[in-house]
Amino acid sequence: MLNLVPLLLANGIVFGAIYGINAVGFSILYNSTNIINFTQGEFVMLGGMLTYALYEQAHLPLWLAALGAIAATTAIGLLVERLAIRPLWRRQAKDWTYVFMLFAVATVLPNLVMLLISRDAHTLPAFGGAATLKLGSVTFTSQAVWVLALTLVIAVALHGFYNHTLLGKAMKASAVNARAAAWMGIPVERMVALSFALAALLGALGGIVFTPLTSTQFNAGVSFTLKGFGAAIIGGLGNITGAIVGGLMLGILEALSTAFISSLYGDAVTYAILFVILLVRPTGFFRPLVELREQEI
Amino acid sequence: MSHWATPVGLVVLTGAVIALPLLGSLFVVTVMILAGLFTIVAIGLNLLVGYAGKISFGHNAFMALGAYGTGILTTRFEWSPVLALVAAAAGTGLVALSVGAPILRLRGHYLAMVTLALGQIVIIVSTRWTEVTGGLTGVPGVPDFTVLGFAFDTKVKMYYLVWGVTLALFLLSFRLIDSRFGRALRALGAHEAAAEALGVPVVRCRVQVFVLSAVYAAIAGSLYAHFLNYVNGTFFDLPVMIQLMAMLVVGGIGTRWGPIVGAVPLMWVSQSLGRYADYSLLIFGLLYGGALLFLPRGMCGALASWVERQRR
Amino acid sequence: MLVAENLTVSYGHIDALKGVSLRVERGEFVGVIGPNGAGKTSLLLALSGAVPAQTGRILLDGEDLTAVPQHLRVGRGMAIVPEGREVFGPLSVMENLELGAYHRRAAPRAEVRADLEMVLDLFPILRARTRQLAATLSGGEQQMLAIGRALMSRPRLLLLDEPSLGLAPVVTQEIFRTLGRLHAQGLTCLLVEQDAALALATTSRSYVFRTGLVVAEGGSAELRQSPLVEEIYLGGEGTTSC
Repeated sequence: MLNLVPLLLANGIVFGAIYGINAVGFSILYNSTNIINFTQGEFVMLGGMLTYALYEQAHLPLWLAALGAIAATTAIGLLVERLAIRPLWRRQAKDWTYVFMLFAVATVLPNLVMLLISRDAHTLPAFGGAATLKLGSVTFTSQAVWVLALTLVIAVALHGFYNHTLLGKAMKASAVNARAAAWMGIPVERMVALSFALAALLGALGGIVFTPLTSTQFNAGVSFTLKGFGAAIIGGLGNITGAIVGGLMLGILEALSTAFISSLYGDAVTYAILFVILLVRPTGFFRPLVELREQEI
Repeated sequence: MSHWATPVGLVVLTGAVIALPLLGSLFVVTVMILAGLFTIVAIGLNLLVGYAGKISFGHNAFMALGAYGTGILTTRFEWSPVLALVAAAAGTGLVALSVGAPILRLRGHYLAMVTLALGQIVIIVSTRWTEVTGGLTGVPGVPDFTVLGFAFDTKVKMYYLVWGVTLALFLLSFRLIDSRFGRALRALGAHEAAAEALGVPVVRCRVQVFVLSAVYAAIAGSLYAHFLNYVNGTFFDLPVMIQLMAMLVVGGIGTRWGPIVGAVPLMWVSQSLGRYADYSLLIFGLLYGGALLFLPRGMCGALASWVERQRR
Repeated sequence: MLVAENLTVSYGHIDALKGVSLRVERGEFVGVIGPNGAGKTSLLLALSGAVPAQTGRILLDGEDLTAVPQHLRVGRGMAIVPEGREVFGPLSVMENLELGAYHRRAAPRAEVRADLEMVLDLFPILRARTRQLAATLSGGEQQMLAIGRALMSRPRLLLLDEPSLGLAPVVTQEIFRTLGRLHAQGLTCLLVEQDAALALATTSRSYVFRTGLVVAEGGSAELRQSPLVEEIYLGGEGTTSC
């Protein structure tokens, strides 16, 4: 069994990277709004399902279908903010109202997908064809390489965005102190909308690279929401680098526990891990480290 | 709502409950059985969410636990249904106790996620732990509910059983709301730290209401098992939770009559869709989101506000 | 330049401002003094758009700002140095200053750079700490940063909310000297201050607030002798307990 560990780790890292991308979406939104996004997993699902719809049903080439899915999901994210969140924000609704509302949205979206696209599970062809990458005793499929490359690109891009562009700094400022940011001329409501768009975009990206690895279905959202949340918590909610690391850790934990504890109960084991973490260390493991190093959110 | 409304309302409700099978078709009776079961869960959930201010997205799991408890005890161990119901409810209560104590100190969002995760764990395990729960096959052959030889073997009898229990639990909830316990709940729902400073035993109260709401759900689950003569975990998955949330929000969270006012009409909606049954959850989601946007206090809350405005 | 007519601000059932009117002419340095809870901060919050005014109008150079949303007011020429500084803690000094010029982001980079240099010349301490996180600055340095950040927006009118709060006298003096210099260069200022003596010494004309109303107005020098202000002076000086 132990000789399988490198393979399990590799698998865990690949899936973990996707959880990490999703977790970044959680953290971005939490930073801007202090809201925990119950629809984050639905964005992941939409990324996969919309790509399927455009590719298999509308017969677009894969790359175009993927771009279309990203654009559409981002638009849906903005729509959710505009229709469901902003009215609550404007009347200064209490915390639990947002949770309930996002749960409602997380019901509407998958059911629309089920009715309009398909209720079955679907997969997508791998992106790089059959090429593989060998690292030691482990072979990474081209899809896995895509996932890891994408994660790296996202991490670098976000770092650049938040630390080297005025818009990124303005978003950070809105999250830190919305009233002072407004006094600077920063349109805080629009920053919130932008956060939703970014979270949706990241979710969709995660979903698109995830689907060729296994499959996706209209009701896959809840699983992604819980795992994304778990990863974000491990890394310290709100900490972007932490989110990616948290995702990797969750992926590895999941791979190891599936092999050594039980493969029968699948996600239940991962959720149990999440439960334990939330009880033992809800602030996560990484915030202090990163706070000392950089001023990233 | 004013205090004379309550006894009048209860009398009217009881009368309606008694009269219904005499006036309605078997379909109506069946829908009302389901409505009654959901009302039971909704009443308990309302105490937790509306009064104590704690969120739970996993109460569907407590229904499942009650159902499986009853199902397994009555089929495999041939317990009497009454004993099985009590055992299942108590067992679920114990589960709620052990889980509730650590998680209820978490903040709103976190609590929502944790309860969602726990609920999912229960459902997933129930459909895969074949030795105990029968896995995807479930537990068939659950006998009709029987008390001292009297079997509730027809839909109409089942209807009276379910609504008898519903009314009893409904009355119980009123007594609780008006008791010191109810006031303590409201205090901790409004502001936990302040309540604690005032001497409210916050930790004990919130665990108690959590366990109580779990027991309500388990009772409903047990009766559901007898109604269908069958238990399967997939019946209690997330869609049930969504329906419950929608019923609570539309009826009015934190209002006395909210659970019934929400559960009965919405159950009718979901059962009357016929060909459009697939649209059920979509409609629930839209109703529930719409209520949060336009009718945040639910129908009962809106009515109460309207009455107050007329009085001025 | 600034005209406020009949402003009322209520928070629920509490009226913080009850129909206040005042004006600030171009180039003036006007003060608002009064005890705690007099509504001084609410005045600035209403002027800067952070809270809505239930009644009244706000005119800046004839332009009606009353309905203009908070984030658009700086674009009309009104900048605020908030009570408690409210700098962006996890961001650096440089980033705070850059964000002060956010509404001018379409302007030529050279102009913004020039203003940055101007601010750093004004507050040399900040120049040494551009990369430091704002949260790690001392109270006085944060106050300077907050003023510098407001100046980066090239305001026509600068609102200051209790800049001396929590600062050592030496630091306060330096900051007020700088404010004096800015005023001499033509900046119009409206200063809200707990420290009545300091405010009356720095400004040419002042308003005295009490429980949401203007109870006195006039030249600062004259007000310093008035018995009303003595009462506030004695009651308000140094007693900044909550």
